[in-house]
Amino acid sequence: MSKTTDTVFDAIVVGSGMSGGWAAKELTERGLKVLLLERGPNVEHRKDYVGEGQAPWQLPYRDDVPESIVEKHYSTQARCYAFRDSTRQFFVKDSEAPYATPEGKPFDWIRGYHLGGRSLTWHRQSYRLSDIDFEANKAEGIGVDWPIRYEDIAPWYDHVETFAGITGSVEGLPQLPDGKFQPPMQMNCVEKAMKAKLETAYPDRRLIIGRAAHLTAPTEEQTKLGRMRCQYRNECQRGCSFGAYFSSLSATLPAARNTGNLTTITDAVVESVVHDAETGRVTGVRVIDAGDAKARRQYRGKLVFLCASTLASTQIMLNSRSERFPNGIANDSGTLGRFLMDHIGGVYVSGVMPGFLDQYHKGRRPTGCYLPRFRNVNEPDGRFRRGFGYQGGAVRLDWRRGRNSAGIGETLKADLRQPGPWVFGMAGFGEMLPYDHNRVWLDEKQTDRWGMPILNIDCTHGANEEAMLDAMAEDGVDTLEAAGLTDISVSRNITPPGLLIHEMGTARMGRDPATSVLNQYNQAHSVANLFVTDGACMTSSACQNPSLTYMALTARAAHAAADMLAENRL
Amino acid sequence: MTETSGSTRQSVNLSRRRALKAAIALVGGSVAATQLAPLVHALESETGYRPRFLEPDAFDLLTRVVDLMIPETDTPGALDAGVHRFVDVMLDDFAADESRQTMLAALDGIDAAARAQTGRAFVTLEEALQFEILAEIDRQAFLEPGSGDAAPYRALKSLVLSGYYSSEIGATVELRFDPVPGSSPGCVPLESIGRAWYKHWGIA
Repeated sequence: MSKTTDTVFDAIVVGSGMSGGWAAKELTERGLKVLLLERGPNVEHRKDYVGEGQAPWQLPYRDDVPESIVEKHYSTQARCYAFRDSTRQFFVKDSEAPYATPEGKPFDWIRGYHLGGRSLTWHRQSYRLSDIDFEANKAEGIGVDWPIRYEDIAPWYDHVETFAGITGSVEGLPQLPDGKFQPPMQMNCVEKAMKAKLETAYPDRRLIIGRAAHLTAPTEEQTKLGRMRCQYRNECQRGCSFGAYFSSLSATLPAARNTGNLTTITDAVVESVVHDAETGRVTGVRVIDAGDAKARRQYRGKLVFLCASTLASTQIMLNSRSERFPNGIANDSGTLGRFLMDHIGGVYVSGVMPGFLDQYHKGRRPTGCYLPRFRNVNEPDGRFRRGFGYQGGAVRLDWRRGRNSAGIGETLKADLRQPGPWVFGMAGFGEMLPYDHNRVWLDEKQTDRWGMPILNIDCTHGANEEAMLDAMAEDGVDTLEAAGLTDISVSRNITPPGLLIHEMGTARMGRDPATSVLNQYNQAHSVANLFVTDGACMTSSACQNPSLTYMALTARAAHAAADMLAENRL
Repeated sequence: MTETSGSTRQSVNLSRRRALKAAIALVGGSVAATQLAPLVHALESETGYRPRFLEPDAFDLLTRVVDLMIPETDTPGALDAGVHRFVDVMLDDFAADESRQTMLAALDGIDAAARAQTGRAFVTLEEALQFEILAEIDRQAFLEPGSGDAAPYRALKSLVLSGYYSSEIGATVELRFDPVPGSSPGCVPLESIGRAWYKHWGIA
């Protein structure tokens, strides 16, 4: 039997990661009493960063995860670049959180079930979308039109960048609007030399320092939250006691707590949203105790923000079935679960920069360089639609080169004692189009340990993605040649969807309730007090890392919801 | 960090290596590794280490291979850093069966090469000959990248190098390691750092 608590919160926020942290902060700062529900355990900032500051020799197995443990518990999560022994407490055990994919169509769903979610382990790259992105669907007749344009979200980008702290350089690029930046991190001498050569050969190919959520000149607001300047360790995913990178734990949740309006409950798996057919509103959520699948309860709220992550929010909505919504709450259009996207990747291009051998890098810069999209910006590219960017950087090869070359004994030791040549490598990140057939649905037979129907995920790339990947490889080689590199090599192996960890869509925003789930304020078309502000809302994927956009959309939706609540419009 | 500041961290292991060298000097002349083996055993038992995964013969072979790959020079080598024990522990705790078989195949391959060439076990050969045989296996292994036959040896070499450079000796005495850099000023003259950084995270 489920119990219902008497308290009626002003708002219930489901999920404490990138989006949930922002919803909690903005809503509590507007004076709302907020209940934040997190399905995983509590993580205490600093205290629970158990891998932080450990030298390799202090870690068992030098920070690798034993093969038998990977095989048993982390067969998918281990494919994530950030999965290490010192970070694995921030990754879900695949063995405990199953999902299904059709034969031959893998989808790598990388997750973290704990307070802070993937805001602890993200790569911190933070880029604005532009009107080139917001207008593309309409212009090309693909998917549905975004219900917003850049001018709608621009002030909210300002808002979240100012609070989160984004380091970056002002470039004046139409496809990558500038933001409220803290001072940029430094490009090294080889990157600067490449930039000069490349931009002479191709003025539209701009190699810039990555824009990333790290503090380089903390504001008073950030300092008051206990956050400090980046120390250039580049071990961020272990957790950072300096609070130098943005996460829910370092930034949004402390701010929300400071209002006195936040109640946080961890180990609370949200099973579904409760809908009242008479009022047409949601009244709260049903929760399963993570430690006891039989213990169920309900919480009541005047409005609900789903921020459980793209696929988890959609899973909850699909599982919220009633007479009014037999196919999942707010699913009048039948589009819930559809138009799943991830970015496309799998092209890696690298080469050697001759010279600069008396120069060396110092400190471990936690961001690379970015080469923003240059295709389909000023003139149409005949090969494919939309665009891609590259992320990478220049370093001198280290001891690891010895594992791939001949030599033993004193010679080997003497050789590896010195840094090797300068190499620059970069990976492509491309836009994936929204396809109706890329979708998720609830399994009718299998449930997980909490009794939730597991998700089926069916997602494949199409012809445009394949063509873009070819172009990414071709343009990558051409770019590095123009930048002065030699010995250029390229690999092109399309990455399974999911593994770029930018999964988005499945509850898209749109202007028409007949073809979309959410309106311009991330509000369900057919349920006025239900908001979905994580990646599920995305109408197209652009090619920029999406977290900053989730933050801005969440903050914008939270203020819209608070306004509507104050005006009795919910 | 200067060239010499790491020497205080070289710990007891280094003095053991020096003791061993001194013992060899006492024996005099060109000493066969067979005569060395008891000394190695003595040193290992002194540290209380018993191989956990490898049989004693295989552990002796591994010990020789590790020493040949990364010898003590003006800085401590792989034995000082305990890489032979590290490999054994990794095989015991870390590796799944397939990786274990790969490593055993690599060791078998080295011994087989010695027997094919000299009719004797690898560990019984003189150091110069051991080096010659191992160097030839190594050279062959990297002629054709990714060739299947070479995979076990390459995996072993990779683990030995990882074990050495990720040890405290490898990272801080042989290379340079900065736990909290504090800044990243673009480029600096290499001579102000002096050696390669140890890196354990991130690309390249």
